[in-house]
Parts: sequence; C-alpha cells; structure tokens
Amino acid sequence: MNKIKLGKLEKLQMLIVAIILFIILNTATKLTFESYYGFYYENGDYKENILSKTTSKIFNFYPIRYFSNQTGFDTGYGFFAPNVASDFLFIFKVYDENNNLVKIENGVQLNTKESNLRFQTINTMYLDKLKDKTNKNYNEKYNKYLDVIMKQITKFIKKKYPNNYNIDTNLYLYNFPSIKKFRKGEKEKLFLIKTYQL
Amino acid sequence: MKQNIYKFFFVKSENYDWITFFRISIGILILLHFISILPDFNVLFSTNGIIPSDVLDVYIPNYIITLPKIIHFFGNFGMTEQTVILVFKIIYILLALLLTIGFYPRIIAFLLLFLQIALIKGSSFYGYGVDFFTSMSLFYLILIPSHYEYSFHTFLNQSIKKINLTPYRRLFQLHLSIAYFFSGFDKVLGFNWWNGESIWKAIHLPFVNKDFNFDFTILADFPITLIVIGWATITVEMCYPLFIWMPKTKRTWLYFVISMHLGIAIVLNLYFFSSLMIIWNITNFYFTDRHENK
Repeated sequence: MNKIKLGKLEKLQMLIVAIILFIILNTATKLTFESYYGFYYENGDYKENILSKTTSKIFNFYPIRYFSNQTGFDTGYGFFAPNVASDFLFIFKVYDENNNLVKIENGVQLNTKESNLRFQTINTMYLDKLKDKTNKNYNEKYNKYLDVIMKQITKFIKKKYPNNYNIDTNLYLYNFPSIKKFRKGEKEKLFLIKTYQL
Repeated sequence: MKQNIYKFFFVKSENYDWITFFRISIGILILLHFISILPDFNVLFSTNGIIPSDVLDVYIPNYIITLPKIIHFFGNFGMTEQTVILVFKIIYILLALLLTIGFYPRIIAFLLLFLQIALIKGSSFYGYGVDFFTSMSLFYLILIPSHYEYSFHTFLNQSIKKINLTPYRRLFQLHLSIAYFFSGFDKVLGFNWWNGESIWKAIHLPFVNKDFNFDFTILADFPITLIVIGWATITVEMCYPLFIWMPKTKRTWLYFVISMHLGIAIVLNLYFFSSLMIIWNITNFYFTDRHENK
C-alpha cells in the first residue's frame, strides 16, 4: 500500500478541520448536558457528570471561548429541546391622569415582524424569574438586572403618552394546557410573575 | 482505511458551484435580514432604545467589541451616536453587497463578521439561532475561498490560484451532520418529545403561527398526529448523518430536511432561520461533485 504523504497545505487544512470539528463536538456535548440538567434538575441540585465537567472546562478555556464567541461556534443545536421553553408576555395597562384605564397594550409593537421576533426573544430571559432563592442557580444580581430591564421597557411605553399618564406593566408566564387538559376544556392561562408601575 | 480517509478529505474537485451558491445566497440573506430590522434599528440598538444598548451590554465580557463600545469609542472623537449608527448601517449594507458580488469575499466576510458580532453580541438578548448560523456562515466564507466563479475577479478575468477545497467542504458537511444529530438527540432526551406534547406546545406558543393563523386545536382530537410529527422530527434529525451520506438516500433526506424547515417557516414564522438552514443544506448536499457521479 502506498504511504500517504501530506503536503504543507494539506497538513494545515487537516489541522484546521480537526480543531474546528473538536470545538463543534465539545460545544454541542457541553450544551446538551446543560439543557439536560436544566430540564430534569430544575433546582440545580445534581451531581455533574465527568464528561459534562470536562467539556465545560474546554468550552471556557479562553482561546476556545474567544474564538467561539467571535464566530458563532458557541451555539448548541438543541432547538426546542429537550423541552419547549415556556414563554412570557408583557401586558401594559395605560391609565390617564384620573386613573381611568385608557388602553391595554399586549407587548411592545415594532414596525417589522423581524424586529418583533427579536424583541420577543428577550422574554426568555425572564425564565430566571421563576427561580427562587432556594434554587442553586439563583442569581440575585441578575434578578435585579431583569427588574431594570422591565423598568426600561415601561419607560419606553410611557414616552408614548402624556407625562401625567401612568403605566402598569405586568409580566405573565404563558401556559398552554397539555393535550389531555385541553381536551377536558382547559384554556390557556397567564400567571402573573412581576408588576411594575411608572 | 488511511487511503479512504485521505480520499474523503482530499479528493480533488473542480466543482465550485456549492461555494459560489453559498457566498451569493448568504450575502443576499444577510442583506435582507439587516434591512428587515432597519425601521426599528435605533429602537433596538441605540442608547435611546427600548432597552438602552449600554444596559444590554452590561453582561458582555470586555474582550468582545460591541456596537455600544464602538459608539463610545468614536464618541471620544466627537462623533455623535446617530452618526456612528448611520455609518454602521451603510457599511453593513455595503459589505453584504460586496460579499454577494464576490469582491475579495474573504476580507469582506471578515469585516462583516466583525460588525455582525458587534451588533448581536452587544444586544445578545435579541439574538436567536439565525444569528449564530450567520456568524458561522461568515466564518466559513473567511476560511473557504469563494471567488473562483461568478465573482468580481472572474468578471475582470483575473487569474486565480485555486486550492483544493474538499477538506473545507468535508468540514462543513460534517458540521451540519453533527448539528442535526445533536438537534435530534437533545429532543429525544425530553420525554415531551415522545408523546407529542412538545410539538403541541411549540405550535401554541404566543408568538408563533401569527401569519397564517392555522387552527391546530383540532389536533388535540388526533394526538397520534402530534406523536408522529415529534418522532418524525427526531428521526429526520438524528439519522441525518447516516442517510445524507448514503448515495441512495441522500436526495430523499435532503428533501425531508428542507420540508421540515419549510414547515418551521410557515408554522413558527421563523423565515430567516429556515432560509439559512435550507441554504446550508443545499450548499452541502445538493451540489454533487463530478467524481461522485462516476
């Protein structure tokens, strides 16, 4: 059998291919573990598998982290998996100077569908609001940051109305019933998570 | 074995249709995607936006150059935020056009990736799957020469030194195969994908199915349909690395996956994401090398 001898360019190409494939596999594995633990151990109380730990360390190794961040390779591929995440809704109640309800706005409405889609992705941040202080992954600072974001959104809505109007922002968890419950007549429900007045 | 691996990665091909198609379609998609948010650009990405960009930027590591940091940097030289944003928009559109016509595409892709990352990472809460895949697409256009055909260079009859692109093509193909495998694998880990509940929940999320408003509630009376759709999705994705590489099933699997993405576009209204995934599939597995036909 003829011995294969790679040229300089071929060696370089193989090195690039090997490194990138390694990063892709490592990131995909790391994020698969992360979403698995996130789904089955909501309170964060689990013993992390050795493969999960290793892939996590590699993922966070600065050169790899930097490269992945700058090229989009820091993504996983489990879209809508292992579970379809719950969504949230912002509902704004607008009151006039006499405290009469004058309008209800469902979410922030932008000019294009794509802008609306982008803005709605922010709702998923609020999944962290469902964690309480007993949860191992609870982050008080981040929780306060989410409140700041909510205030900013409220300020934006308020700008559209006269100064003496008030805005009541309500953040709801949207829950659509399971197939079985839907067949029994249950409808979608909104659970109030947080309110803010301005 | 070694011979087969060598052949797999290094067999020479004179067919550049796949990378030409990729460059042109990605250039157009990036342009359209950017234009689609232009009317709301300032509301989403400026310091006067719904959420000021400097607030969005808080959790972003310092080593990532973001649009708010660029605005701040040029502010030191007296440029207003509005001017920086306007210049940013013009350059972004110009680069997307230059990429499409194949004007020094590797350099242009590099510059475009820099701007795209600055925009998306600076406001990562607005980001979703399509942004990661756009970044990776631009990375591939930096890595792989895409100007061998239908480019500014061929238009001017410039002589082009060509290298063997097969290793990069294989990397891209393997990447896509790994991506689908994990997409299916992550789904099969969730018990709600086994009983149809995940499909049921996905099609009833408050922000999907807005364009055609299909009434899916009827499916509650036929839950088997939802179970079948769930398992079909898992099967198509997890088996992708197997059937997309087998000559007999390649086309069929490609049509399955493209159909799945069309379904996602129509039902979930994720048009840009679906288009991008279809482009990745066509690029990697539609264009057949001549040696593969022999």
